[in-house]
Amino acid sequence: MSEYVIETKELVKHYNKGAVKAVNGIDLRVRKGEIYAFIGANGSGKSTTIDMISGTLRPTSGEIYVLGLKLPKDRRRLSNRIGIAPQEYAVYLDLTVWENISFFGRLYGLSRKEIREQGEKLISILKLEEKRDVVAEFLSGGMKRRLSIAIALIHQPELILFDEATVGVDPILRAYFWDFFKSLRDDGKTILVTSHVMDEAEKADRIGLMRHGKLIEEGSPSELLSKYNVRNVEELFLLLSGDENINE
Amino acid sequence: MRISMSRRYKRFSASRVFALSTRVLKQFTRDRRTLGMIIIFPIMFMLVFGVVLSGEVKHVPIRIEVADTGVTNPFTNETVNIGEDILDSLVANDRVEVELASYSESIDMVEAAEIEAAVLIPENFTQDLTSTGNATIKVYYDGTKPQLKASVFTALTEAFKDLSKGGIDFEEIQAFGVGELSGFDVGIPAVMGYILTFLILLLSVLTAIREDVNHTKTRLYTTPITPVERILGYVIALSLFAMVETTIVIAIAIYVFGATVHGNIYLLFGAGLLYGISHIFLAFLLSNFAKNELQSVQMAILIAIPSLALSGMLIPIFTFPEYLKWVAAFVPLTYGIRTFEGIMLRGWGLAELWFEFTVISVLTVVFFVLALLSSSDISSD
Repeated sequence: MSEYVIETKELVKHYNKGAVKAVNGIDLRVRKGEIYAFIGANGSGKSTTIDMISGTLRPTSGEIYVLGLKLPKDRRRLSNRIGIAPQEYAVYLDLTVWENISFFGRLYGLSRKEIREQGEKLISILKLEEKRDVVAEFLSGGMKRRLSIAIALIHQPELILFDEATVGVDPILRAYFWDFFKSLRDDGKTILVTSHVMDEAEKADRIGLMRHGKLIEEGSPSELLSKYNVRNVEELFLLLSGDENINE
Repeated sequence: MRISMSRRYKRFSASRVFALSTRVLKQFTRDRRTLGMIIIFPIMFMLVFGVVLSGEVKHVPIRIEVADTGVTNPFTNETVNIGEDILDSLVANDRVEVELASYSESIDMVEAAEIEAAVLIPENFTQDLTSTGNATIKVYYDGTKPQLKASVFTALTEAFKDLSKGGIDFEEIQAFGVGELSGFDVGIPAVMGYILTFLILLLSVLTAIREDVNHTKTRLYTTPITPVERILGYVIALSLFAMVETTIVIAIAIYVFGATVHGNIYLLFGAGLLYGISHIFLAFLLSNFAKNELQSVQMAILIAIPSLALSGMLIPIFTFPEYLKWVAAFVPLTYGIRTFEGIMLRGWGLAELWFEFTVISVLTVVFFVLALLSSSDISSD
């Protein structure tokens, strides 16, 4: 059995009969129990890769193995073991916080007791107690993001995909989210985070830099900073992207 | 650069108006499906309604029995048979399509809604007319279609005029023992069918498309829920809505407008619900091809508007050209209207309406299977 929780081989996704090469041959390997940050400019192919890894988007070519299952063939078997917080909030705006959490808990086959225990725990960790019975439409952006994360975790998945989870979130909450991600990792979960905010990537165990649908560099933040002799990931990103970054 | 105050605070700017209108037009041109519908809708609707409405109510099927033995003049030995003359005149009149049959057999055909009227010219017709100046023709007719009834009676009246014979009366018997039906009575089953078609389609497609609009679709697709479970879950919830719609429509028809229901009201409710459920599945099938709310509404309209013309709601189907009759056979509203009319106006039950119920049930299953086949929890684009 592979040591990797996520393994892709020559993963390709083209749109419009090849005119748009969103993902262009990625070999990605994410180990069990690590936080892997996928970073890159907007449109670099991060979300497309996440969609393929979550089994909701069919690749043009290449292979994907997630938790030992081949995708997209085995995506149904994967569904109970993976949690996803998409880039958009993806919550039911006319349901309350608790109704959203409870609905997804039922889809994952949890008992009422399990939903209550795990749901209350997540509500407490993500500080949603006061908003428990508030209809999601009336939540702030940060609150909606917390709810989205709570839904992704209700069934205690082994692998969690956070697609731009910290977008539109204030620095205090962002720091809180990262502490939370680390606590999940310490519990043995594997986390794949995408972000275009470079400074937060340094908090990950390993980072992968994406550009033009390709993984251009990969390693732990400290390894990469010393390899390229830069002070932070933002400098690294600018160095590796060059002037082209602005055109992406 | 300084911006002049007059430019900044113009109270009305044609340029701003133009900027907005060009933006809207640009958006339409980028949404190719909407653009196609803007062009295809009026062409299609005009052609369908044009062909349907240009059909005249002609060749209404009737059966006639001429029992008239006529009168023979003892001096000239000539036989006069006014009944036969009326028959000849009716045969020559294209308002009706006449066939000879016994009156009792013809009554059965009227009750099976196969013909519009059974006509009996009695044995002593000519004799009564010549001796007393008065005679009666028996007409047993299906009064659920006023246009057809009018054609039959106009053709008969024209036959008398051709013969310059007055003093002929009709003994009019309305089929199904329901007495005279008002214009509202005969119109309301079709209106009910149409309201259910339009509302249930529209609300179901909008409900289905909300998963896309809220971006919850992606999240839903990563859960263990299967496409079958997803569609059935929606259908159960929307069926309750269909139940409410059906109840409101029937209740208003009966209690507000005093519509007549000669058949079983529970069967009518069941028929409305089954018809509604078939349209929930149809809506899911359509929503699989829509990318946004606008497109889903367009698809509901694409079904609802032509149904108005093609279901026989405006003009009876037998007046359609042959190819449109085939199209009408595939329009669910055709069977919905027949079912509602059968129960409400003719007092029919399942024994008479088994075919219509079967067709609606088969359509429900077909729409479900097609919705399932066209639904996927993995996207290719």
